[in-house]
Amino acid sequence: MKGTHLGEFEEIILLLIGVLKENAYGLALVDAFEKQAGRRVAIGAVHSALSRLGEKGFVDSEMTGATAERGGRRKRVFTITAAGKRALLNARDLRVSLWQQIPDLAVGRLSFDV
Amino acid sequence: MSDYYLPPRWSDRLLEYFIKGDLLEEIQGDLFEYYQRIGHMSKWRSGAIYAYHVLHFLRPFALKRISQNSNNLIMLKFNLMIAWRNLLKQKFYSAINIMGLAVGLASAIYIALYINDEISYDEHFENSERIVRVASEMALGDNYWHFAVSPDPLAAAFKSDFPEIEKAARFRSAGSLLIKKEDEVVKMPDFKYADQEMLEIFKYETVYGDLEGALVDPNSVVLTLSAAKKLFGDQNPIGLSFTTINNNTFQVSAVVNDLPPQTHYHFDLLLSMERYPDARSGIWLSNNFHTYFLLREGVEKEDLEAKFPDVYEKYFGPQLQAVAGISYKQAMSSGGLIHYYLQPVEDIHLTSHLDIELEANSRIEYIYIFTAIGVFLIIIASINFINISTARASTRAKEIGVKKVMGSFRRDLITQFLTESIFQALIAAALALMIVFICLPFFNVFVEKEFVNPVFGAPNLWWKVLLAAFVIGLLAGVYPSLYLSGFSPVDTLRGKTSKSGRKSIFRNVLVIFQFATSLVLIIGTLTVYNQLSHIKEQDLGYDREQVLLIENSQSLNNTVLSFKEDLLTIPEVAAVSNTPFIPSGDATSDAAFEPVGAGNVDDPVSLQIWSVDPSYLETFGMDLIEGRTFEAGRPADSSAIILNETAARRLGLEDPVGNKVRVFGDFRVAGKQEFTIVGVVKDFNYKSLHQDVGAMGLYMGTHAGYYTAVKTNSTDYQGLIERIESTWDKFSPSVSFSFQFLDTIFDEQYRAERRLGEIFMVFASLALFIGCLGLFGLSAYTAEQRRKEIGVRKVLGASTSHLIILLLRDFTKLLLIAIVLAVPISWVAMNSWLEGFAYRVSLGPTVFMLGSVIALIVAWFTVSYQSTIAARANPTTNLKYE
Repeated sequence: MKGTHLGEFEEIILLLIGVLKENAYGLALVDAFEKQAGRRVAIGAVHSALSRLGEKGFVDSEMTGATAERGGRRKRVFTITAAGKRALLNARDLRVSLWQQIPDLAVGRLSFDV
Repeated sequence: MSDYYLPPRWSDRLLEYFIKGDLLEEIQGDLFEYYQRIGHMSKWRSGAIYAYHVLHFLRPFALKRISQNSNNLIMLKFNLMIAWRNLLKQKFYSAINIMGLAVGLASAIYIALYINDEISYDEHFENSERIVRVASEMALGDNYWHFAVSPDPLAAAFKSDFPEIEKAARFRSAGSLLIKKEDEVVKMPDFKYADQEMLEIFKYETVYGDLEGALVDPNSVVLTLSAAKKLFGDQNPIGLSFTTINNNTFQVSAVVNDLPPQTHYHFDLLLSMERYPDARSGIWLSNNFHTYFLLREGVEKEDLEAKFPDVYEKYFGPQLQAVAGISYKQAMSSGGLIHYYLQPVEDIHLTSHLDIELEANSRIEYIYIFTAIGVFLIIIASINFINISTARASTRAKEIGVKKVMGSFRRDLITQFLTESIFQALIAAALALMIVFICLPFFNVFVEKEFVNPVFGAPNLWWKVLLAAFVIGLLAGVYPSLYLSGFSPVDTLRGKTSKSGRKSIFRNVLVIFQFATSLVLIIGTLTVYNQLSHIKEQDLGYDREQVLLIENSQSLNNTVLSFKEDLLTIPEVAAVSNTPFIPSGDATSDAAFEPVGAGNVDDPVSLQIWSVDPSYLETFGMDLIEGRTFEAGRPADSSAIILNETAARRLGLEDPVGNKVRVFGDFRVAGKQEFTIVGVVKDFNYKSLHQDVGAMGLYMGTHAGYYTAVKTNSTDYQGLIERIESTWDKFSPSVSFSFQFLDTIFDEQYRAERRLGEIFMVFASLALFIGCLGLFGLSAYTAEQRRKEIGVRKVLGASTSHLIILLLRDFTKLLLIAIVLAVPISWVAMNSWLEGFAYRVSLGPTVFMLGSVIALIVAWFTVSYQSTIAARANPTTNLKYE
C-alpha cells in the first residue's frame, strides 16, 4: 500500500468531489477547480490526481451515463470513501491546530511580509 | 454525431495506443466533451489547446506501456539489477572503465569551460556584433608594417566619408599614471586616452555618473570601479579630483564597472583625447591610434572595406608628396601598399596577432587543438570499455547461451548490454562532476582564469553531461552488445567461444589507436619543451641575467643622474642605465631614416629608434662592433646615433662610423633631423624570438625613462635590493619602490608557449593514463586466459622471465605499430607549430625516440605487472584451475 499522505492539490480535488456530489467526474472537477481556486489546470493533471486518490483508497468510482456530447462514452463519477473523509478531517485538524498556534492572528497583527 | 465538433483523429489514435484500457473511455469522453467548448475556435487554435491537454495525459499513471505492469519497465529494472551485479562482480574491470571515462569526461568538461570562455570574448558589449577595429597593412620600399593601430585623422575622416559608420573613436594607450594620494603615490598601471564616442560605441556599464559627455572636458576622467576604490575608497567620486605627480589635475566624470576578463583590452582610467595634443596632428603616415567603428545596422563590413581604397589618394597623396617627394601613384606602382581593413571586435581575441595589440591575444589554433584533445580523451576512454567488454566475452558467453535457450531475443540481449554500458557511463558522469567540482581551484591556477564552479551553477551542465554520458555509453556499448549477443547458444553452452581471429583484430586496432594518440601528445609535449629551452639558450645579443629593473623612474625627473651616481656607490652594482626601452619589453617606437651622402638605398629604412643613455650597452651587455658608445660630456653626442648591424646593412653603409643619417621627410626624432653614426652594435634580439631582428638605432635621450636598469655582479639579491630601495627612497620617497628582473620579463614573453607546454603535458599524461588503464585490464584478462598455457610451459621448464617476455611480445607489436603511425602525424603537426618561431629548434629524431621510449616503458610496466603475477604463479594451481 502506498502512503496515505494527502497533497494540497489532492485535498482540493477531494473536497470538490464532495461539493459536486453526483456530478463529480473528470471534466466537471476541472471546471470547478478553475472556478473555485482561480488557477488553470490540465485535464490530465486532475485525472492523475484522481488516480492517486483511488490508489490511496480515498475515492470510489462508478461508470455512468453515456451522452452524445461525450461522443457516446460513459463518465466516471467519483465519491468520497470513509478513509477519504478521515483524511480530509485530519488535514483540516492539522491546519486548525497550526493556525491556533500562531498567537497574534486573532488580533490581526500577523505579518506575512517578512 | 454531426451536431458535435469532432476532435482531431490523431488524438484518439494516440490515446488508444498509450492509455491504459480501463482509463481510456473516461479520458476520451472528458476530452470529447471539452473539445465541444473549443471547437468553434480556429482550427489551428483549438488544435493547439486540445493537443496541450492530450499530451498532458502522457504521464505514468495513465500510460499502459511503461506502467507498473509493463514488460519494458520490468525488463529495465531487471537489466539495471544485472548491470549493478556485474559491476560489483567485476570490480576491477568496472573500476577501470568508470575511472577512465570519468577522467576523460572531467577533462572534456574543463576543456569545454575553457573554450567557452575563450570564444565569448567581447560578446558582452551591447553592440558587439556591429563594432569593428581598423587594422592597417602597409608597405613602402623594403619596409612592411602590419599594425593594430591606424593614423589619428582616420577615425574622423572615414566617418564623414562613409555613412555606413555610425560612430568612430580612438584609443591611445599611454602606459601607467602615478597619482598623488595624500602622502603617497598610487600607481595606475594602465591608462588610455579615448574619444568621447568610444564610450558611446562600447557603452560601458556605469556605477556612478553618466557616460554622456564624460570625456568632453580635457580634464575629465572616467575611472573603473576598482581604480575609484583605490583612489577614493567607497564614496561616490563624481566631481572629485586627483593630481598626478606632474601636477595635472583631473576631475572624475563617470565610474564604470571593471571590464570583464573576457575583453581584448582593459584600462584603469580613461583620459579625454582632448588632452592629448598629437591626437589632432592630421598625419596619415604615422600609426598610433587604436580605431574602432560602430557600423550602422545591416552594414556588411566587406562592402564598407571595398570602398576604403577610393579615399587613400585623397589623404595620403599630399602628405607623400610633401614628405617623400613622390606622388601617391608613384609610391603604389613601386611596390607600395596601403590597406585598411576591419576586424570584428568579437574575433580579435582569437584571430588578431598584429603589431601593437592592446593586449596579448590567444590563438584560434589552440581552441582547435584543445577540442581535438577533449574528443580524443573520451574516445580513448570509450575504447577501454569496448575492449574490455569484448575481451571478457567468454565469461559472459554462458549467460548469453542460457538466456537464448530460455527464449531471449537478440534484441533483449542487446538492450541488456546497452543498459550496462549506459549505466557505467552514467556513474562515470557523476564521478566526473565530482572531479570537476573538487579540482576546479587547481584548474583555475593552471589556466590562469577565474572560472566559477560550474557544477552547481552553470545552466544545463548536468543535462549536457548526462546526455553526453548516455550517448557515450550507447556508442561504446554498440559494438560489444552486437558482438556478445551474436553468440550461438549451442557453441557457448558447449564452451566454445572461438571467433577469436576477427575480434582480436578489431581490439588490436583500437589499442593501436589509443597509443598512437597518446604518443602524438607525448611527442607534442616534448617538442614544446624543447623549443622553450631552445629559446632560453639563444644568444640574444644581450645579457638578461642579473639585470634588475627599477620601475617608475620617470618620477625621478632631473634627479635621475644623481640617482644613478648614488647607485654606483653600492659595491655590487656594476652598471646603471636609465631608459624607457628594454629588450623584450612592450615599448616600441619607430621612424624612417635615409643615409646622407654615402650609403646606397632606394627607399628609406624603418628603424626601431630608442632613446637610451651612455651606459645602456654596458648595462645590458651588448657588444659594440665598431666605433664607440655615447659620452655624457660631449654636446655633439646629442645628435649621435648607434646603429645595429641590420640597420647599417639595410642603409647600405659599408663603413658606417662617421657617416650621417637623416630622418626621412619632414619628421624629427628628439627635435633633430640629422644624426652622426658613432658606433655599430651587434644585433640583439629586442623583441621576441618569434621574429627576426629588425633594423634599429639608439640615440641619447634627455628625459628620465620608465626603467632604471641595474647590472649587478652579486647574487645576494636580498641585501642589494634593500640598499637600492633605500637609495630610491631618498630620491623619490612618495613613489613606492618596485622592480622586476629582466629575465622574468623575458620569460613572460613566452608564457603562452609555456602554458601550452604544461597543458599538453597534463593531457598527454591523462591520455597515457587512460590508455594504460585499458591496457592493464586487457593484460590482466590475457594473462587469465593463458593461465593453462603458462602452467604447461612452466612444467615443461620455461623460466619466469621467458614467460613474461612471451606475454609482453603481443602488446609490444601493437605498440610498435602505434609508434610507426604516430611519428609522421606528430612530425607534421609540430613542424607547423614551430614555423611560428623565427628561432626554432630542429625537429630531430631524439624527440620521437624519447617519446616512443616513454610510451613503451609505461606500457611495459603496466603489462608486466599482470604478466609477472601470471608467470610466477605455481603451475599446479594454474593447471588445477577450471
